[in-house]
Amino acid sequence: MEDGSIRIKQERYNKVFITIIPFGAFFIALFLGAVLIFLAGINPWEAYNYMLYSIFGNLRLFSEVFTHFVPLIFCALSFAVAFKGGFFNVGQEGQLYFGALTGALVGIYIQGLPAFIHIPLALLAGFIGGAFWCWIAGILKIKLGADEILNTIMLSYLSILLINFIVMYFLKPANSYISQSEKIARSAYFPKIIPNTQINLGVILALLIAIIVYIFLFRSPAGYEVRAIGENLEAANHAGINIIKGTMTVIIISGGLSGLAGTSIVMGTQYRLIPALSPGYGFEGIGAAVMARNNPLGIILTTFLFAFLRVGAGAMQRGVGVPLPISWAIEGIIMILVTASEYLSNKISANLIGGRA
Amino acid sequence: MGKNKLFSGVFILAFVLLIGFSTFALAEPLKVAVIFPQPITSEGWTKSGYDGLMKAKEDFDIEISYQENVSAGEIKEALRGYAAEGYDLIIVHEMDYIEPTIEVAEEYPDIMFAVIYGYESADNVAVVSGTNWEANCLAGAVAGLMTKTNKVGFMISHDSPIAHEFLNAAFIYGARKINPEVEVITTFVGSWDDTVKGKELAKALVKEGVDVIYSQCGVINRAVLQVCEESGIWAIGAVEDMSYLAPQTVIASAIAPTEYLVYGAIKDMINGTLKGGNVIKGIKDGAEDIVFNPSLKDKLPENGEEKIMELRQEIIEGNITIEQIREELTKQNVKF
Amino acid sequence: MNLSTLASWFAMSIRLSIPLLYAALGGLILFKSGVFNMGLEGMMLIGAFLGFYGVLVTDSLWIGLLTAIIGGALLGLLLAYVTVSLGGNQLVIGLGINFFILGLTGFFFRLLCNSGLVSDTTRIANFSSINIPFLSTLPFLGEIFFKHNFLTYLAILLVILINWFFYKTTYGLGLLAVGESPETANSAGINVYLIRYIAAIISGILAATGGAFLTLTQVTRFSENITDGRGWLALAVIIFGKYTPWGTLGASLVFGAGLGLVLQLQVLGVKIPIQIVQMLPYVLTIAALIGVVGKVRGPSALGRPFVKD
Repeated sequence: MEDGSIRIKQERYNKVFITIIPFGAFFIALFLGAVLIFLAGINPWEAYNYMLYSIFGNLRLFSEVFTHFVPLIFCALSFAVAFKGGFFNVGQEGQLYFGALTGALVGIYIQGLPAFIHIPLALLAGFIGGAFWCWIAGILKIKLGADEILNTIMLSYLSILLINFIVMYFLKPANSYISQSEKIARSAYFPKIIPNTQINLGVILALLIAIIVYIFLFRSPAGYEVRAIGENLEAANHAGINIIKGTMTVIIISGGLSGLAGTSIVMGTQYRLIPALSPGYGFEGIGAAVMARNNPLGIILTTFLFAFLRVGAGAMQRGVGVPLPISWAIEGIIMILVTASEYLSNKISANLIGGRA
Repeated sequence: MGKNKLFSGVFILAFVLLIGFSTFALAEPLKVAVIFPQPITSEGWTKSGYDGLMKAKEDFDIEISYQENVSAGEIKEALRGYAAEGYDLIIVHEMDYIEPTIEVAEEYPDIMFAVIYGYESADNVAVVSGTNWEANCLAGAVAGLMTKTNKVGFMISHDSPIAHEFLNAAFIYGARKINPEVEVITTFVGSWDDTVKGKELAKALVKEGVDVIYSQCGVINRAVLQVCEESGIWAIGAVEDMSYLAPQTVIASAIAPTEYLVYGAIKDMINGTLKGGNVIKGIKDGAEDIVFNPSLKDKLPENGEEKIMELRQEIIEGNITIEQIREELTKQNVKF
Repeated sequence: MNLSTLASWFAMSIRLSIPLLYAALGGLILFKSGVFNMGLEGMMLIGAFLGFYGVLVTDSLWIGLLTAIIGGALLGLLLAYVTVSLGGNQLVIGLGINFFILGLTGFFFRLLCNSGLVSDTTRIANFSSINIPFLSTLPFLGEIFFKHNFLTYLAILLVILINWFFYKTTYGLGLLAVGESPETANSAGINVYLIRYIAAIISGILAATGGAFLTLTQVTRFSENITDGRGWLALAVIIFGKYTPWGTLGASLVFGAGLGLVLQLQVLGVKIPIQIVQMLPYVLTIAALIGVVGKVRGPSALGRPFVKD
């Protein structure tokens, strides 16, 4: 009895540790970033101080965190779902653009619908667009065994160029000099939850979907099958799980989530399709997912940090003149350290499982 | 669990202290901010805006700040950031961002916004533009004047509607005006950063018999200049007077002096004359022009300078408009 | 298109393909040992920057090349440590390296500019073309093949060397075995970790050389983000080249020709949307994956960390 309770306590401590480790890595990265800021001749304390103060000191600026948060969380969830199912989808960026295209088309060309129909319809279109682009990669993998990490990246580049082309040559209004589509119908705008801020329906949607993804992965039979495939393909096959069906489910959900990232930018921030829609949400989302160890609930927290840092990079530039490249370098250090810190987490969790056995 | 709580406690405490210690200054000079879509090291267009800001900082008692490489997805955030931080004048150095600027300007009616180039405006959004074509037209004329092979090259960084309907149309018109035989080869590098591709493109143009190149590609211009220097052909500088970079190669430059646009908007703000609305400044306001390289003036053909100046005068007097140019080119069946 | 234009397009294609070839060969070696290298872009960029910096400070091209190589090797070492020793995510570490180096080189380049070491008119020395006696005077072929710089000829030599190494040497076969099944290789007495470490360092060195090619031969100045996605394109080169050294050479030539075509067609006055031509390499790669060039098969253990029991 005594022994058992110690073990449970130990397990609980370990779990806390595993959660904290990536955040430790995050803060060490901020510290290393401080060294760079110092090299630029700026007081790092002042810079970080300014970042926190300016963002938390102003509701409107704070709400800008959510313009990044929403697409980032969809990208991170997209990676996490696929990862859990053993499919390395790293083409979030391209799927995002494709979802933005299909969502925007429904937003622009279907007019006169009430918002409660138009919004879900546009979201559905975005989901389908993203899912379709990911499905191509999936087919290449399933039918031809082509490595998905590489083909999702190739498809990403293709998608970005394709959307750029479509906007400039087909969606641009004839009398406009700017390469962008027309605005979507008002009925497809995400309604604002707090007026005069960027906190709109997208935020609630993102949080809701994060929870749904969590329930799907960890509380549903289908999710169990998906995870079984991801953990051990042969064992899953042996247990009679339909591998193709499971993998396809994951591919569709993952691509669809990325598509929603694009649609949410169109419906929540830009209200139109533009060629430079995403400043790299795809890759950042992957970073956030890895930092949360692909747990959808953890992803809520880590994407918030990444989104915060994005707004923070701008704030530090505006307020204290921290050169932009330093913010990129800090982001890179975060990714490197978070990846490296996986080792510690893995070691502890290996002990954890070892303890159970 | 205890550790976790302690950790967050310390964090929140540190946070509250941070906010508490931050103090407000009382009397402040005018606060001016500029938002750039490219990194400030991207030479040419962005650099000229940056130089304008720096010059204003020297000349006036103002506090400045800038944010660079701001993408379309981040523009509203940058605008709101500056607005929240109490800036009096926020300048956006990109015409594509006019609509988000107007949107944010509605939220902050007490702050003045200015967009460099643009086509719409609002009560507190001033649009300060160059013409996008006058200097280009003269650059084309110089190219037409100097070419012996009757082939001239025009390099643009990215394909866009503006590139076709303003820059390219004006350049072709200018070139044909002086030299009806001339063939203009217009090319897009497809990048702001890729100096290697720019250089190869320039080399290919030279190989094709082009003997004057006008490049409007930011940092890539220098690589192009080098090719022109090595192959002994003429180059036309863009944005700034580039003759100091290659004194024996740059025959003339289509300049956009930094005193206008960004600097001008700040100056008008200080004088209290910056208003909402659209102001287009061209050659007659001194906001753009063509300058010849003084040390190469003897290389110009006879009456060459006069011909260019004649065209310049016609533009100043308003006898030529961009709409006419497009119409005329279409009539002549010239694609632009 | 006349012969002379054709020749200059081919020569341009070769010049554009060599940086890709270096990076792709670097990627290939590490891929073959079973580890992804998504940090090629960052490794190229550090090579471009350090190569420039080395020459700027010492005026010696060789020292410039050496500093580039050292930078690449260090990044390779970092990649190996995180992926091989720590078993970290091979994709995210690559992304991290790319972001980190993009920021770092941008930052230090600005420091150089601010300190006055780099000015508006700064240009550094560069590897000039070597005209191979007799051959370079051949009509048509001379211009295409025999008027390139030292690093170009070296790249072709490396293809031959790496091909020989992979299929004819014990270490090479060991490396391939590690990529196919590290467990089997390990039980056969091959040191999996060591091989992957060495492969990663060589990978970094080659990618950095590809980057240095940009600043030391093509342009004589560094600018932020000068690699502009070449490291990612190199991944496409590896697949299109079917994971073989000769294939990689062929694929980089095809992609280089594609990049050159984008430029050459415009010069010839052919009006097609530039985006369409830019899509070409990726369409080709996907065509390759679909099986147009025959079955493409990567190393079986690609992306799978190896943990020694």
